[in-house]
Amino acid sequence: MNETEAIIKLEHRFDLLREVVASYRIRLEHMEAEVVQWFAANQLSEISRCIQEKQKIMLRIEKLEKFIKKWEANAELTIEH
Amino acid sequence: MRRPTYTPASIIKKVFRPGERSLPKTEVCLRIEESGLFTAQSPEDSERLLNAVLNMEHSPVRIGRSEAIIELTHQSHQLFDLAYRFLRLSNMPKAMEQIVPELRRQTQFSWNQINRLLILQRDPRFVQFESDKRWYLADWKVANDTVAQFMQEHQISEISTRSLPYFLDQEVGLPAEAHLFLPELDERFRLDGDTLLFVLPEKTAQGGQEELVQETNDSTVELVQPNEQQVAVSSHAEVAATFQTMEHSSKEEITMNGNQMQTTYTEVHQLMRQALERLEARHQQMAQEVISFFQQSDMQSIEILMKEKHKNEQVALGIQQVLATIEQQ
Repeated sequence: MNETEAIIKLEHRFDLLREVVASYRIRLEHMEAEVVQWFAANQLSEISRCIQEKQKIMLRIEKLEKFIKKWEANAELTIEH
Repeated sequence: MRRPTYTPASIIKKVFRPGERSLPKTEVCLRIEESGLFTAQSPEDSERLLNAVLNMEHSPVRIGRSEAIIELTHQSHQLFDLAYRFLRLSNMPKAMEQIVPELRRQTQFSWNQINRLLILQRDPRFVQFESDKRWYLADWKVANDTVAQFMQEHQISEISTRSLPYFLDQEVGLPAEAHLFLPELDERFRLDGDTLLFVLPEKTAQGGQEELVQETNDSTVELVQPNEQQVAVSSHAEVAATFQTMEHSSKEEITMNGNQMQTTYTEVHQLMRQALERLEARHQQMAQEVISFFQQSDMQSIEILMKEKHKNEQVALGIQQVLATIEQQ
């Protein structure tokens, strides 16, 4: 039982990763609204923190997307059960 | 009395509703009479108007398969749609001299091609007024009567042209997108530099003013050339303005003119409110800009923007204080 579950998860691993990427993107969109709020409240330091966080997230998204691209293409070749 | 009047071809275009390509002749004549765009003395007049337009060069209409059918001659072409978009977006009437360069910028067509193809006379979406070479969109409404009525009701005899858009939108309740105010084609209004003068009918009953209006009427009638007429109207506006200021100043000498004081404050109030709106608009714009700078991780620009925001807020606060002072009076 556990094993089949594991297999299902394994097959869905790229979809799961994509979901992660999607939620990062949603987070970025939220941050835009956040920045406007900080701007209205004259909080420059918060804005600069947001920019740093955004850059981190962007880096992660980039890496994840590279990973998906690299491994999804030969997923069927490498993983055999 | 001169009022904005559609050219005969424009009247015919305006009776066709959007999407209609042809109409029975009787229906066209009936709609001309009902439209109120043309003051027909007798039923034959509208038919005469239609016949005159049918015989015009580049007429927007022609006789259909039978004598009783009138159909539009317009053939759609990309250039017409672009010109339509240009007018729609700028929300301003434009002369051919302004439309052609714009279309040259947007397309590959040459100056000659555009002038040959783009015959706005044929397109029912474009209309013109007498003694004005600019093209207007057919669905724009002329608001002169509403404005005149409003000014008469509220006894407003002059208004600064700078506060005019605000006045029309906020006070009279005519949003600029759908309404046209054409003081230059209307004898009830005179433009004098930065001031728009309105001849209040009650004032004309007074001695000096009446003479002035009479004078202006007489000399406008003498002029036949439409272009000269424009010039004449504006020069007369100057005369009218001097007369009016003279009259006003003499009144002020005798008694403090309460009405005049009130209009000045109203105007200042309007301008201030406009300034506040402008700052508010910039504020909204800044919110958009901050997002784009954020996307580019451009912290420096955000800091500059923040400084601008600080300054704007201070200015807005100052203006609000001034407004409060005016309202106290």
